[in-house]
This record gives sequence, structure tokens and C-alpha cells, in this order.
Amino acid sequence: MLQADRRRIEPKADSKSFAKRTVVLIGLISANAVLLSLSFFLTKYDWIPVVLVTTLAALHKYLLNYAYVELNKDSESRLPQFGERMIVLFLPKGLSECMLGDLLEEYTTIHAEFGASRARIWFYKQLVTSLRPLLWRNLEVVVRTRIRILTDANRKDA
Amino acid sequence: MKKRMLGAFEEEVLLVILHLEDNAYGVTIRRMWQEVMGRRISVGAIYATLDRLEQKGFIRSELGEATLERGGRAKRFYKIAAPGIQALNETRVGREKMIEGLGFRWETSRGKV
Repeated sequence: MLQADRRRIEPKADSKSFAKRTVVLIGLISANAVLLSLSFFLTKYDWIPVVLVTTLAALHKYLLNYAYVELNKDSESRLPQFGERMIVLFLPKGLSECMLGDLLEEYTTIHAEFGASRARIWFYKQLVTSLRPLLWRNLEVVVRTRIRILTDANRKDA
Repeated sequence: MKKRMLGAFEEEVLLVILHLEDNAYGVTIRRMWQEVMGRRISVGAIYATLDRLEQKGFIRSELGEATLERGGRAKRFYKIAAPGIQALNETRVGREKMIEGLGFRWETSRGKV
């Protein structure tokens, strides 16, 4: 559940990006269909080298993977790259992975409900407001560890 | 033995974890806190507190399964540990002692008591 007092804004469709994605999708589907038919056709003949069929299958797989990455670009299933890198850079791995997962889960909900720009603003707001408590926590850990080391050293000396 | 008192926010987070039982992870904890308290809080503030509580031994965490909706990242589920319950009790008792004898009526969700 998101905050109830938020104004509902209809997601604005980005026409350029939509057209680009449609062209990419149609192109990739056609290319994959041709490759699949060709691979299927070629397997009927023993004299066709296996390498050729395998290469075509690999190309088909590559195109599918490319289509997946291309279609997911700037979509609701990806966090803004810069912010994601900042979190990975400043937080320990165990913490950053869980936090990124949580952020993505909420980002997807906001993206679906309010649109991409609202979701991006929400994400960067979270990033900025999260920095202070997390840096403070890191500092706290460093200071406590240092104090413990010094206390242990003093005990040994005594 | 030294009593372990909790900060206000730490206490609230522990109570939310108790409420959520087996479904206490970052998103649900944050949502429930926001609903109950009527304020907004950042994901970072929640994680900083969870990390501190875990280091103190008040909660323990375990990784769940990675899911597609989280981009293949696992949820970290939190559960309250025995020292956490003890700290909650001690904090509550301490607060009640402070309140005792103040002589004015407190406003609660059920009205004044």
C-alpha cells in the first residue's frame, strides 16, 4: 500500500521510446522466426554441417537475449543505473543487495501506478534520504571497532 | 546486570517485526511503520536500524529465495531473538516507571485513560 494522500497521475506514454521498442521487437521477432525456420529446415539434411546449425541456434539465442535486455531498458524492471551504482559503491554487499531488491520492488509498484518519472523521483529521494543514516551507521561501526581495538590493546599492556 | 534500553525508533521497529511474524523484511517493515506512525521513512533509515539491532543480538536474519520481481535479489527476513524480547520488556517497564504518578490522563486510541 502506498501513501493514500498521493495524487493519482496517469502514466505518460513516451511515444518515441514506444515506437523504437516496437521496431526493435518486430525486427527481432522476424529475425528469430527466420533463424528458427532455417535451423529446423537444415536439420533434415545430413549433409549440412552441424557447425552451421549450431551457429544459427547460438545466433538465435543471442538475439533472444538481446531482445530481453533491449526491451527491459528504462522499463519498470530496472532501477536508474546511476543510483544503483551509488548504492553498490557505498554499502557492504550483503546490505546493498537486499536494499536494491526492496527498492526495485517498490519502484516497480510506483512505476506501474504513477509512471516512470514519478518512480525515478521516488527512487532518487530514497537514495538521498538514505545516505545520512547509512553513512552514520558506517561511521558508528568504524568508531566502535576502533575503540574495541584500543581497549583490548590497553588491557594487554596492563 | 546492565539493562538494555532501546531507542524509540528501535523499539518501534522491533514491535513491527513482532507484528509481521514470518513476513518481516525491508519493504513490509517500512510500509507497516509508515501506516502505523503516519509518517514517511527512508529505506536507508530502516536498514541502518535493522543492522544495529542485529549487531546487538536483538534480531536475527536469514536470506529468502531470490525472486524475479526483485531482479533476482533475495529478501532478508528478520525475526526477533530472545534478547530483543527482553530489551522490549525492560524498555516498557522503564517507561511505565517514568509515567507512574504523573497524574494526568493519557490519550490512547480508545480515548483518555
